[in-house]
Amino acid sequence: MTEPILQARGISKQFASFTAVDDVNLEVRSGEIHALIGPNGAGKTTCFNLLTGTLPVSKGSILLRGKEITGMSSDAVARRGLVRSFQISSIFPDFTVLNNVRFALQRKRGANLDFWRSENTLNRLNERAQGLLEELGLAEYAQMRAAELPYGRKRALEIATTLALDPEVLLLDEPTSGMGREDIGRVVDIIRKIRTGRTVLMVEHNLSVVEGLCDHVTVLARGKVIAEGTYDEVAKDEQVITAYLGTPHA
Amino acid sequence: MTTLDSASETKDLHVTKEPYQILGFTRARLVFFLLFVAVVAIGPMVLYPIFLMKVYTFIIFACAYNLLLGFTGLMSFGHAAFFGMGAYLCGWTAVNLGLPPSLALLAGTAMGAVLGAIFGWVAIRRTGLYFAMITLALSQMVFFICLRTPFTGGEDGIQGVPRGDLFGFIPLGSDTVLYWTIAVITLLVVVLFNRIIHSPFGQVLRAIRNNPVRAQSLGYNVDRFKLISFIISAGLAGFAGSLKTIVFGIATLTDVSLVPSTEVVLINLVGGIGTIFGPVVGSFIILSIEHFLAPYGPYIFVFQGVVFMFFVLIFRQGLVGELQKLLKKHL
Ligand SMILES: Nc1ncnc2c1ncn2[C@@H]1O[C@H](COP(=O)(O)OP(=O)(O)OP(=O)(O)O)[C@@H](O)[C@H]1O
Ligand SMILES: [Mg+2]
Repeated sequence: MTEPILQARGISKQFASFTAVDDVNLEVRSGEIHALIGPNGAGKTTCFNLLTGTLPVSKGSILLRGKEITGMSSDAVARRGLVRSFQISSIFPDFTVLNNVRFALQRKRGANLDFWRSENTLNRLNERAQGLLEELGLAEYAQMRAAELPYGRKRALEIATTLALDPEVLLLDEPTSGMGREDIGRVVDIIRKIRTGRTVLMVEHNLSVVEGLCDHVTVLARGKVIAEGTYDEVAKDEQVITAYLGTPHA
Repeated sequence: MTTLDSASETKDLHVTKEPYQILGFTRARLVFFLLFVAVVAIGPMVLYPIFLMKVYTFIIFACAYNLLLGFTGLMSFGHAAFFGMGAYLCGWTAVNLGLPPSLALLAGTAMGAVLGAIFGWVAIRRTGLYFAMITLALSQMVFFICLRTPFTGGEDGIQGVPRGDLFGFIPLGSDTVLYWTIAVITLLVVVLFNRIIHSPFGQVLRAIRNNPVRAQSLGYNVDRFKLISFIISAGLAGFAGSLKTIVFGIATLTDVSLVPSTEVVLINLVGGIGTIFGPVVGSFIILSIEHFLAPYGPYIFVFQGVVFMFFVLIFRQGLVGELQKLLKKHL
């Protein structure tokens, strides 16, 4: 068994009197694809917000490669190699599709404080950005305004942008939501392709995707972890079955 | 979206990326810039140079403001503090320390930047209306301090600021020399403004304006970039105020009051928030209204109110913004 690269120890999140995440322990092992599933409102996105520093935890601690990252801002967490995508597509709508990806590349390789230089100096990143677009089947859209992309492609663009940072740990919040069958297949292929050398934690409602892709599954309901294990293990779990009954997924 | 559409789109954008940019302007913008140069050249034959110079200082002020509002997505209601304190310190150092214009301008600019760092440090973590309200409150405090300290000369202001010789050899005492100096500086500021917007740094600012949460999740320290943008904007506003002092030889309480703070919003709204030439067009229009309607006293405010509503309701992108949509070119 490999080391956990990302670890949550008893994290909780309180919104006023409502506990969205309740004493959650999570161990994501290096190199695995780990799914976080659960019914709507279970607290999956909130967990992501906590892990990435988008929201501060109310309690508990978070470790990345054994080092404490609790309380760090989300940009600092991202610079340490833990990068996320959002449930609701989060792109730069006024930028071209290419520049969306290039902007991510720019963080490491662009002189971001140079205000006297032309942005044409960033053109050297175009080739790599174009390569990433090709990988996600977006090459033909490169010069389109990102706002004009069809929905499924926006999700793909967000993944391309996330990948541009070459993160060690990837957190994907429902990467296939709202996609047609074909697009889902593409995203699954991409995740398979990029997993080498990376760890993926993903929220996913489509259980067949989880079954086919993920090594390990954690089930969340009402803010609490109710089951953990391989897909086959959790699928048999009675608590899980109860939690999912009557929900529109599966 | 048909392939034809995306193909023409590709071609279009390709043109704007061609490397034969002059002064960092795309072709459409270069045309606009040359038009502005023409207006600057012909202007003094038609209009009072002193009026034109006031317009130019406001163009600089409005560019500073647009960097923040149009390209970083931060709304400040307190920019008069930087403009006015810049104006005061420039005047004060020129009168009391006998500084030459270049150093007095530098002092006023630094004043704006330092004050901007303080405002920014307090406000930058807030967004939207909260951010605007904090800047408003702080600028009102600055106004109050100016009202009560002898340094500003109270109601009289700082008067009789000498124009002096810029860099020791450009005699600003001559009206013609002053006009051309201010004009050239303003043109350079517009070039610089365009360069900042289209630099790697400007790219980060525009991304923050587009989607700050995503920019941060990609590892950009959003607050730091916002703060730097704020300081640049405040410094440039201080510079504009200082130039105004040199031109008119006077710095007054009006400069730190709510008046310039609202004027600069109005200018950008009318010209086009988030455009390069919006501040230019907006300054000409708003200051012309003030200038030519001055004989009608308080009716100016009524007229300005109508203009304001007209743009908010009908011409939301401002004149340059609407033109941009029409021509499908960034201006
Ligand atoms: N900022 C917030 N303030 C208050 N309540 C919140 C906030 N964010 C989330 N919640 C609440 O916390 C609970 C968990 O929300 P969360 O978005 O984490 O669920 P989820 O598991 O991602 O659900 P879904 O499958 O619908 O995406 C919900 O009841 C939600 O209303
Ligand atoms: Mg969610």
